[in-house]
Amino acid sequence: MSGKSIRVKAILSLGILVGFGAVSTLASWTGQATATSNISTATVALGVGATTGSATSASYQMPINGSNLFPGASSASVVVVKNTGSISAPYSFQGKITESGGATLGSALTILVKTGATLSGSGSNVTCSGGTTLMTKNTGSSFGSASATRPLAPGASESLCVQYSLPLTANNALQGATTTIALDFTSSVGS
Amino acid sequence: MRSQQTAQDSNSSLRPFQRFLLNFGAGLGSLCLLLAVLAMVIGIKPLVFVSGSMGPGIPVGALGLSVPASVEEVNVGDVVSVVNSQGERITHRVVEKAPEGLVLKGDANPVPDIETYSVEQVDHLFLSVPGLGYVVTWLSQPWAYAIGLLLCGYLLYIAFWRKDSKPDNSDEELHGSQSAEPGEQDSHSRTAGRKKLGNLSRTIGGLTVVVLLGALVLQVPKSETTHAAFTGSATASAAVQANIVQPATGSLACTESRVLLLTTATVSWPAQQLPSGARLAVRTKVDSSTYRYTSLASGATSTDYGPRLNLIGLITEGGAQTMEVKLLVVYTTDNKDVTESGSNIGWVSPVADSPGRTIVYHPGFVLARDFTCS
Repeated sequence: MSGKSIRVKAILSLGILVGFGAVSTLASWTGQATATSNISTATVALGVGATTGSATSASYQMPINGSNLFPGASSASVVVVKNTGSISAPYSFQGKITESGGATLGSALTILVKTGATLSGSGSNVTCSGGTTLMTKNTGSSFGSASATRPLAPGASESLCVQYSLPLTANNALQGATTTIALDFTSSVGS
Repeated sequence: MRSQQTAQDSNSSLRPFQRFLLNFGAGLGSLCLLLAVLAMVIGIKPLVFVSGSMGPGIPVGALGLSVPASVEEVNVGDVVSVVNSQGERITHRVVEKAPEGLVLKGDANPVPDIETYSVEQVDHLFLSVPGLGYVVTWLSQPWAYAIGLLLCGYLLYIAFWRKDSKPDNSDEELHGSQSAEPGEQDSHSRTAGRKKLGNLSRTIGGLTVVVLLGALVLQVPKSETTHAAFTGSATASAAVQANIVQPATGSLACTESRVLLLTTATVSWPAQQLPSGARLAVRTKVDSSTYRYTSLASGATSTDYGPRLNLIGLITEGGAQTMEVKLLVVYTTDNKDVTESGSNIGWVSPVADSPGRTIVYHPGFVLARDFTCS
């Protein structure tokens, strides 16, 4: 090996340092440092159910508290959403209406989703009282965008109260109609 | 460093492991330089996948390479990298190009991302290599820089200084190359002044390079890897049912009462159990297509059709006519009394199933009209 080629090779090897720098520099798109330990096989999972203990399945049929709706009446459901994954993961939810039988009962309903609320009332006047409203759907419209994200530590859960109100102005054609109101919960971890 | 000393016995030849290190360093360094140039010229971005939402195709720890692309150039099915509203980089597959932005979904996720990414520029992933992300991340740590520095320093040493040193003073030589003390030159065995000068300039040049690179290494941010969001989902649903307004119960009775020459027909019914918020109303069909409503007090069990009744639409002359009367259960949209025209009626019990009967209207002048039971 000639002295010249040895020197050329030695200088080329300096590229390793440039390469290191390039990778980290170009990788610095978010401005948030992320340590190596963040490469993990952590799981992100949500469970829903009636209580903290039973909120482990991916789907849950919420029972309705209160009677079938007349104009001016309201009923409510409670669901517990739980982080069943291994890392802290914020969640958000989106409302979804599935109408059935050609009627638009879901659209006509006013729907509130609250946290920290308790069921109150009975019969045709069951409401979610107190707490903080996380989502509102007005009568005549569909659900808007997803809720703001809410933090949820592993194993932690949050109880949500969903209130369905049929306004007095409900169309006569909605008598006897049924609709399915779903809350799709999604938790997402960016790193 | 022992082996170095013995290797120095021969100026023109290197030990096998030194050759290997030189070749390895030169190869790796060239690759890095090439990538760095590519990155700067065409914007190639290395992406390290730190979560598994694109699995199994792109597992955790994969290294991806991406090039900038405009949204127009991206097709459904492409894997693109964007920065979400939380400032996190997400690399997912395009499932829809909606007017409001790109809808992305991780291959391993059951649902698309919550956020619709309203971006004009994305990074289009064109290559991914499983596992390589671990290597890159590992290499991005400070101590990996340190090893790289040591390797480069050693290679520079054997390339530039080793040849000029004598077998017996390698310790001083090593010392000099590390500390760069000016007095280093004095401890060398004397050689030609020209060679001394060359040695000095090489030392200064080499140190400058090393210091510059060291500064660069200290300047660059710590290893940053990002993205590929993992998603968990669950659904809670409820079947909401609207009620049906049941018709009033019982049947309508009619009794007549006479004051002077005029007759009043009184329509009555049994007491009703009404659902919450509902009202009773009587609907009278005044002609073939016109109905008039009479609001009733809650708990009412009868209503009178007498001479003073002045329903709009009632004709004031002509022969007797029969009218259909229906007892209805209604909800008003304003929660007030039913208007005469029924304009504020929302829900109403089915008319066909509601109790009804007919009465007879006898037109005449204002006070001379009356009603009888049929």
